[in-house]
Amino acid sequence: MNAKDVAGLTRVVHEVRELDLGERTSYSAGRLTVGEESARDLLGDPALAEVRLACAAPGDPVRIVGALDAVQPCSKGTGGGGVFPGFLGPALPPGRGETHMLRGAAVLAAGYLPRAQEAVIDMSGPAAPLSPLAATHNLVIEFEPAEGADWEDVEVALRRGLLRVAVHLADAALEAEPDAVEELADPDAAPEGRPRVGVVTNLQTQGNFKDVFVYGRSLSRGLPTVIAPGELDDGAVVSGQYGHPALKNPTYLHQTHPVLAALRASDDVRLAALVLCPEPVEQSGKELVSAHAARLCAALQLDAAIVTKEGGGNADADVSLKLDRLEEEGITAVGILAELAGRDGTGPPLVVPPTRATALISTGNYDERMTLPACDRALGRERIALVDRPATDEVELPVAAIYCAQTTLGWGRLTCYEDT
Amino acid sequence: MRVVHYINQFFAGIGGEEAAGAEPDLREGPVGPGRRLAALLGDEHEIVATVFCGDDHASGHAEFAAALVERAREHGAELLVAGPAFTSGRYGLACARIAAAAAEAGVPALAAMHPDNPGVGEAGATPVVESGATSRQMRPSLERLAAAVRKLASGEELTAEDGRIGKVPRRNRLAERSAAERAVALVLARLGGDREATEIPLPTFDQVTPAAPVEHAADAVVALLTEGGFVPAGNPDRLESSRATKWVRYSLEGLDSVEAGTFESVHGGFSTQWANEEPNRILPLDIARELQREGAIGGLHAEYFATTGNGTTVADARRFGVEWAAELRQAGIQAAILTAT
Amino acid sequence: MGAPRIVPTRGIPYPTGDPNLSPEQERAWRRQLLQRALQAVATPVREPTVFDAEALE
Repeated sequence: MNAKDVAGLTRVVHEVRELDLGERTSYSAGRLTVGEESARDLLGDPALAEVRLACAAPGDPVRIVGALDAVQPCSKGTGGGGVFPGFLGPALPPGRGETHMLRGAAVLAAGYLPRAQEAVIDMSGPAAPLSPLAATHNLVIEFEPAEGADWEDVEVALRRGLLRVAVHLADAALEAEPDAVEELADPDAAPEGRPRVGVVTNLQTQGNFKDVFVYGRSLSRGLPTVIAPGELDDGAVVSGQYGHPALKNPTYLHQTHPVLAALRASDDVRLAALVLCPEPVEQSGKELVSAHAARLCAALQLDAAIVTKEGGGNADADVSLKLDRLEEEGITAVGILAELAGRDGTGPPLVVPPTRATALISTGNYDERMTLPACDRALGRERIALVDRPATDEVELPVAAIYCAQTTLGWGRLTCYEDT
Repeated sequence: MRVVHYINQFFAGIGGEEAAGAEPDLREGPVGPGRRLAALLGDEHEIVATVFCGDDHASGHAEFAAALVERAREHGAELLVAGPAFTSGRYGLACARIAAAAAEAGVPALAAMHPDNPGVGEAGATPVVESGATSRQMRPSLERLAAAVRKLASGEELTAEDGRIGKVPRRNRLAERSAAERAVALVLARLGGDREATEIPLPTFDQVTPAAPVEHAADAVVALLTEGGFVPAGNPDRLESSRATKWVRYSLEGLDSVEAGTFESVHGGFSTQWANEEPNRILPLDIARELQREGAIGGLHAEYFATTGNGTTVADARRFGVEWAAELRQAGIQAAILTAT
Repeated sequence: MGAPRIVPTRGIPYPTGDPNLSPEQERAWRRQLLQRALQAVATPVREPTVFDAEALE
């Protein structure tokens, strides 16, 4: 089977082991240099008065406060099919052909936006293992909004800038010898014995600063839809959601979707489908979307499905309803959820538990607190508003504030330990 | 360690139900079942005092716990042990509360009761260990309790192996594998026929032992209760419309009916227009008075109790039930009618 | 959810009522409910038991 005969994506992987700023953007033997002027040009927008670039590497004594979105650099080559459809390229399904990606690097914006809850990444120390973005070489973009600019315009400008820079960086590796080439065939229906397992990924759809885009458009008021998993690598899903830091799924995690990766890596199951769903706020919408998603999964002849979510307790209902409806369709359902068990861990773990389904994976207790040691340098914001302390101080924070620490896309190893 | 033991009025030898209003007090050394507990603890630990309280008093006066803990500390308490309460609900609640109060005051503590006891969920993060269902299982219950006391005294955390029941605090840790990998493993386990595997156990609802029937309704004094958020107009005590953390009580004296405009429902879980139009649709006082006049019931309680059953936690609802039962028993009520919305 | 004696009613917003009836009929229905409730408390039960008031008609 070669890439031309089977529909799917070919990942051309370039590892990043070092990152720095320089005069010209270049990539060679694992070292990525970001040309400052080029990056600033790509970020330029009337809504942004100033942008500053900084690098943060895994292990650095650096804290990023107010992390917003993070993007994995990727490109289909100049003149190629295009990534981030609906933003940088035409709004058409991507996910075929070759895509170059810089693995181990991320472009990350940090600072203040309205409705953005303060998200913290420690590149070293006890909180570092909790965040996927503490394991990447990050180009951190700090910004000042232009005077009189609407925050919506600031956010749009940031997003466009991040995506452009992400492509620009990956373009630097187009000619480089890849570290790996991964063939990802689209799921097909041909029977082959292993159980067919799908992923149902819920996306937050609550308007400004709390929306997630598919092909550049919001799924709000829409119905569940099926897309090819490879489309995620090409940026079909882009995050514009900044709440609930520990539960955040930045664009980076949509691109790298750990649950899809785990299913592909397993010899015992077969990745059969990816279903994207909006998360309606009102109960009637949740019921419809969940019931319809279960029907879709049945039509896709899934034997099992893993359900992920975005957001806080309200979004638990969307997961629980889906798990119950899936079980009713005879599809084994597993949900990935964070627990809100209170500071001492004895509260009821879920705001809205399922009533029929019972198979749940825990990504840890949101409310448990941890102490982050003092650090040398902070990026993004100067103070941590949650505790009203300078960002470089030693601070006690709930796990809830650590960027992606509990993401239900499954990157992390944080879970709840039952003292049994 | 110097241990203080909490028991109720019955095990303290003061009396049964008729003594349930007994005020909190302290006696030197072990009392009642505390004697066997002391023997089981041997020389290592000493029960220096016993604190006790009537079950109804404890239920109606939450402050009893902190007060008794203070007296226990004055007596040199280094550890507090409460129960075993078996299935006795008010006693179990009292044990849970005093254990929690002790822990809060920095004194290691634990309570013992049957898993069905409503007190199981009321001790916060303070451990509760399993006891038998009745005092016929006193001996094995005390043996288990003594072992748990020894373990707690040595500074170790109690686990299910020690008979720990109820709320076991959920604590974060880093697993070997990512959540994504564990999700795939859980799918395989479930597809393979394992119906139990999960990382988040879900709450189960309790079985309640039905009360014995009244002999004749015509002799029974009946109370009206509601979870319909039913309050005097204006909601003077600010009963919550959802996630209620309290209950309220109001007098029905001199009323033959609940009139529109004088009472209202503040329940946030349904449209209250019909209730506010005709409040007897929530609290059926008009008909209850008729039945009282006709002699169909022996009497109607002078008060009604209310809460809002909308997103109330199971733990709170259970507690309200135990507190209402204690109040109504003290008031000589034999039966209650609860309207649920 | 475990309550030992249950008398089913006709609507969540009006447990001891029925706005579809005339006031007189509604009081009669309320009386039926209460009488059934009194019957229930005088009946021994071992597990959650439903006492249907509609059947009294």
